[in-house]
Amino acid sequence: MRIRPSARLACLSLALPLLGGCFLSRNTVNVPLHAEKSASLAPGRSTQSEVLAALGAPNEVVQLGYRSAWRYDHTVEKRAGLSLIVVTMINSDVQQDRMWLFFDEQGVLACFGATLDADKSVYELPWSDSHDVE
Amino acid sequence: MLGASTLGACVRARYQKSTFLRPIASGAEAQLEPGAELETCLARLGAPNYVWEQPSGAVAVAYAWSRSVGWGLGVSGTVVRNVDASFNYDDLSADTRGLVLWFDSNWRLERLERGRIRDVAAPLGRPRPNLPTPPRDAARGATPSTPSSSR
Repeated sequence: MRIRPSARLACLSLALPLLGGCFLSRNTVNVPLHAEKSASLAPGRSTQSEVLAALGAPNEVVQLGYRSAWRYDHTVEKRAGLSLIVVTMINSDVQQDRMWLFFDEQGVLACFGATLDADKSVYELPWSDSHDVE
Repeated sequence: MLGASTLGACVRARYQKSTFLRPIASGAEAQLEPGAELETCLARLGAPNYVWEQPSGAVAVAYAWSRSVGWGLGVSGTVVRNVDASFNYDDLSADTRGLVLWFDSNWRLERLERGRIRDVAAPLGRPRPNLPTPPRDAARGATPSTPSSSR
């Protein structure tokens, strides 16, 4: 039996929505923070001017009376999805590089904390569970 | 086939999992005793997500994380029920859990609490924009009624 090309095209068009599809996407906010830059910061010595020169403008400044705290962050979100006929499965994983710097009354760095996890963001489907989440 | 195509175009089920950051390991806070310095806490736990000013020079910091998993149903592209995967620094969702640490004016640990961050940190709220405060020395120098000038 011979099927006409137009009928074949019509069948393919109707079958297209039944085929699965998948996607990967990545969103980033700000530029990555590097461990070398935090290593150059010296509590008790580094001034706000030196921090500005090393890290640029902070994303947030919190005034703490005469003291202050600055936040730097870089966020990576990785999304993976799979679509099958009428079901779509999506996974989103958001991880951050983050740094908070605390300054004393004279604007000298008192202490800081750094978390560099942005590169630990992963593409995976919802049934995967690579994170140990409470 | 036509029916399935039409159904797929009109009605879609959606299963979504969203992970925001990794939780602080259970028990990590057990190593932190009251009186521990802010520097020690930051070294143990990393950088917090939030820093809030407290009265009299005290400070509170919070570590946050969340995970949501759920099904949603969409009709003609409109999701009528779905999990909320959004997160930003201005909005703490009900699913956001965390660890909040309170420090005194010398930035020494007073207490800490783990739980839903919206409940634990409810009294703290968002950091308010403060007017810049002049340093103590400058403020003292600008005061016209110093003992020497009042004579």
